[in-house]
Amino acid sequence: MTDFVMPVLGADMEAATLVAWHRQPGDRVHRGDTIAEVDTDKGVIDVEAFTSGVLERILVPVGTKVRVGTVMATIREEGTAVAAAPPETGEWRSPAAVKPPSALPTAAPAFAAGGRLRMSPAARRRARELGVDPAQVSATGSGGAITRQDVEQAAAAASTEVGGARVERMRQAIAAAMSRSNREIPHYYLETTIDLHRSIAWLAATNADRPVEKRLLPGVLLLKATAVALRDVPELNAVWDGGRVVHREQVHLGVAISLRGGGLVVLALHDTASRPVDVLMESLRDLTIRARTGRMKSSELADSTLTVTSLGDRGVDAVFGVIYPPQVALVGFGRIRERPWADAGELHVRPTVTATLAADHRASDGHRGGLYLDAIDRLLQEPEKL
Amino acid sequence: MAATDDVQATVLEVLSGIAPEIDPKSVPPEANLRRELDLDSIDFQNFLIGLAKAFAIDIPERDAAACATLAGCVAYLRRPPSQP
Repeated sequence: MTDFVMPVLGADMEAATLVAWHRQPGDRVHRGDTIAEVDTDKGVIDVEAFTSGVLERILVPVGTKVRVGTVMATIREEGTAVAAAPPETGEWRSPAAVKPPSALPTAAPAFAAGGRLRMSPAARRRARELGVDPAQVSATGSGGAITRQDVEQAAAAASTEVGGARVERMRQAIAAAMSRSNREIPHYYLETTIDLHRSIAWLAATNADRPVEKRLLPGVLLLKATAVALRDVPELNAVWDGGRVVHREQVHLGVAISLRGGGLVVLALHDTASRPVDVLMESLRDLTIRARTGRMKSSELADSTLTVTSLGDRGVDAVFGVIYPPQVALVGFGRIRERPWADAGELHVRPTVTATLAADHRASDGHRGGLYLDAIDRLLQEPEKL
Repeated sequence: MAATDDVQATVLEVLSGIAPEIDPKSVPPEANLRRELDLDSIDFQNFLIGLAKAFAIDIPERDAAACATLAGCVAYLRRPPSQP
């Protein structure tokens, strides 16, 4: 049996409020399925299963504020013995043997009282999903029944909070994480300017015949190059854990995305080094939309191995970042701009970008960091191979 | 061809999907949308994709600049797209 715990949601999030269970005891779950939904200052997060099996017990009721690492449920993995009394037989599955939801320890008190409130099964189900206490809902249905709409309205009213308070709490959390980073991590910084004329020409040729939804942005080439270059300097794709560097095999670049109301979130672009740029572009667009509309997945918050911040669209030439703990490096890109560029004794005007590296001196040295930025540069000279 | 008001309403609806906090009535018609609404390159691409879907057309790369302002979008979308 495996504990289903509240996963790490990034260095700047310690807890989240459980708003819904998407699976009930007895349901099969697969690795990657959304099992629960939590609300945070950055938006709603779908919490995914990291193992496959059968959901055995739910330990945390909807509405609870749950700290990272808390056991929320237990999952019985395939092929393991059943822990509790009910055997995995036909009877366990039959309706008579399944406890009604109102008797589950996870149910809100209003459900335990059961039956007295007039509401349709759909409204009741919705209330459970949204974590709304039916006793607190004003009914507008015929004969004083609570409708599905009543439940949704009550949920919306409960979640409507002064936007400023949420942003303020996010600010506090970012402040704590970044202060810790600056206090504990001995940062060193490197900078290089990269000639992008081959990349930009390749993009123009590639995009010319593509419909808008298939076009590539320069940012996706920068991300792919940043990820592939880690093969040369793998010690930067790591976390600092308990006083030592722990290398990460897979490259999941964290993309820093600014939120429209203020604050930012770092979301993992999974398998950045191995996926084709077309696919990465689609994922990047999808990530951005979901970050902005507040609908993220727990793995996206938890998995990133090296963060990239791209402030180029904001008109700055270079960004020297603060490492996102427990990572050991952060790459920054400024805006792409034309500059005079000397090449083989001739002067040209070329599109260029300034790439920076902020790295943890406990985990790597400047020499290796320099090789890393150089590898990014080299990869961007052969965009067709990315 | 749809009336200008309908086109504008649809453009603003697509824009609201990208920047939910904006007040559609307050978008200045001649202002650069990216600068005015702080849209990054991915937001702007999502905006163009939204327009292409809403009007069932493609917006080729060479026409993207025509959609930089609200007024530009409306004018562009009321004309047939340029021929390659």
